[in-house]
Amino acid sequence: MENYKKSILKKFYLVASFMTLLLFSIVFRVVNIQYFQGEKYRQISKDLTQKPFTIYANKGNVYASDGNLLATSMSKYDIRMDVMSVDPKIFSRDVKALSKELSKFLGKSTQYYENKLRKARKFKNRYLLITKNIGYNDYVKMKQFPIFRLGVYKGGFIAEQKTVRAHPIGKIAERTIGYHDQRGDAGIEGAYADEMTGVDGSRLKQKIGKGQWKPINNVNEQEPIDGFDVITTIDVNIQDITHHALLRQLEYFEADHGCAVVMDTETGEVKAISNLGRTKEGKYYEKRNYAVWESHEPGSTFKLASLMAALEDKVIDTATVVDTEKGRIYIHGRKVEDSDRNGYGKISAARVFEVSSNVGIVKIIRKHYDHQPEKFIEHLENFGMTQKIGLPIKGEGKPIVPSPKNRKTWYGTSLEWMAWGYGVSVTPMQTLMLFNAVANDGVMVKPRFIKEIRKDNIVKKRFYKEVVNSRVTSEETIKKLKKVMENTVIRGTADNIYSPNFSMAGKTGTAKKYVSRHVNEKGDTIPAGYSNKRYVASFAGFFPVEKPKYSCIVVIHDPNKKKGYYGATVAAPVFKEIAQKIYTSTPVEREFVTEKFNSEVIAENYKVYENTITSDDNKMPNLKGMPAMDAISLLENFGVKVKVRGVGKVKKQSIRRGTPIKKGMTIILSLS
Amino acid sequence: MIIFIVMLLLILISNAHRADKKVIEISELNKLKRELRAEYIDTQTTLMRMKMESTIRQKAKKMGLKPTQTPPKRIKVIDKE
Repeated sequence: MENYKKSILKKFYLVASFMTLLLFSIVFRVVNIQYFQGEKYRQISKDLTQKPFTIYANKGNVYASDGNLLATSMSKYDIRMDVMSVDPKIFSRDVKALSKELSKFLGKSTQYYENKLRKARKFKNRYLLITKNIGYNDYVKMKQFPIFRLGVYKGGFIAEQKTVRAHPIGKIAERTIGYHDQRGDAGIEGAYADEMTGVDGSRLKQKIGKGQWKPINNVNEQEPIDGFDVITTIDVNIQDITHHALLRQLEYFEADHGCAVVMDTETGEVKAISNLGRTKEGKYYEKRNYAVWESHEPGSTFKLASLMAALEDKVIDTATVVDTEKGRIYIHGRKVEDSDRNGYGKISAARVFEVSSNVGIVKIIRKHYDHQPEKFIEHLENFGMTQKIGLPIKGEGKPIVPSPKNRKTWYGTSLEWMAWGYGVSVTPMQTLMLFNAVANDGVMVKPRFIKEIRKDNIVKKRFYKEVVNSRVTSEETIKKLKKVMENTVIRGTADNIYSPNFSMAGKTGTAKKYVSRHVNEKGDTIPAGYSNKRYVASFAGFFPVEKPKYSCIVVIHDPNKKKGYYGATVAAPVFKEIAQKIYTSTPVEREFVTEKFNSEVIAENYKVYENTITSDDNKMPNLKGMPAMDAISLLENFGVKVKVRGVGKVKKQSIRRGTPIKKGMTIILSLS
Repeated sequence: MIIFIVMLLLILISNAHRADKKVIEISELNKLKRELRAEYIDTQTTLMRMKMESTIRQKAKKMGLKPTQTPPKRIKVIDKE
């Protein structure tokens, strides 16, 4: 018995110790997983069910000064088709109808689309590209096409949405509005990228059913900050006119490129800026911001600076007689020549400017500044010609003005050549700024593109007028300059754009292009020098003369010489078109004073009218006997559409009096 | 006591479900908002192009109309006192 008991006990211990061991190993495992490897496993679980989501910040918009959108982020769609998912019967029945609709919508022939679709079907294409980059409204229309209207699974309609940066007004002012993306920074978007981009936020979310994610916390881990909106000074109407006027002229003259800028005289706000360059095919598009970037030899428009300096120092007066001889002089062996090969003889300094005599202006400057060129340069500094304006847009061109202090760039003819705009290099914006200073009675303001930076319609930053130089020259000089610039249009080089209806003032410029040493098409080496074939035609000025409202510059490079190359023929007409357009769209006010007119009939009719319109029971009034003119205006004020038969007073109304008025209802009035 | 706890649990569960439903609703509304915004901008773009002077000029040309050469006149009549 004892023996038997012992044997059982032995077995029991064995089992018990085995069980204990098992227990320990489980406990060990649990502890190990829970505490030692716990971190790792919890992380894996979290990764599967939770993840941070980026909440994209909305990029700010660019607006025109009147609130029109210039640039915004918008949805575009790529449309594709899974041809195989369509039922064969439906496909063969409706493929023609679909092709027809596509042809109407996208332009190519019905046959083209039918072939394309049938071919795709043959090759079992499940991802056939139909069209790219269509807007939302087009996408909605397309969704309703035959076959497509069956949806994704039966109609094979695949629409891929993407957000792109778009310019609602199209190619107009594209370069100045600019961009901020992988291509780099350009224009206003580039300049204000920091303000406009905003900061993306993030939020931790947990997985729930249906492929949806639920935010874990009530607040975002990182709130997104939307970008600021930028309100520019661009006026869409003026921009539109400027763009098309410039485009037409470039196309006619087959020019290489050109720019036109309109600036508000008093505030320096740029109302329009157009920059067009030519493609190989002869089409034009906003290629570069020439107005801001391109520093070039200005030619005759620079004579304004020369005359301004001379008048300011009182070394000459507009009446001072200058002998332009036979239109040709030599300085250190280099020729200065007038465009009129016979010369102008003895003329006044004012006339020199009006007819743009090169000899005349060179003689004036040579006589009075040859012994003191520093003084002339000092004036140019004062006129803002020697330094960049400091525009926010990237890539502003650097002006080049030689100085007698720097002997390396100063030649014996530097001063004289500068007098008529050669050997110096400035951007169109600088020239415009100088012309604007004259228009603005000597106050030089900085051109600006931005009015405000806003967020949710609250102004965050306002940009004010910046005065560069509160007095460029004396009032007296300004008065004289305005006069000669006006006369340039009346009887000078730009008399072709003169209009008896409105006044303009300005200066033409025709500069030969400096071409560096190169090999031409025939294989001959052409030495560096001023070309006789390539020109820069320009015109800068302001209007109206009496109280200048806008200044404008037009620069056109490389027009076809056979069609014309003078500033007056190539550039000035663009200026005129802009000026004329602005003139014709500004109403002229005429006031008439008359005797007080009294009529009992009218007074009574008016009383009836007033009583009806001010009554607020919103019911159809009795119109019988009322003059049709009054009845129509009355009803339309209620939002009712009116159809009229006959002439005279109301005889019958199709909706009875006392009927409650609903907006958009139609009433027919029979008149006697 | 137990019934009370069970009830609390039921409320808790239904609450969680309702929250999930809300999330789905929000995402749908967001989609709708995106679409409406897209429609708004697209329509505005079309409108802006249509009302631009150069477009109108072309359309009016067919009807034989062209821009005026003189500005509009606003006539103001003042009564003599």
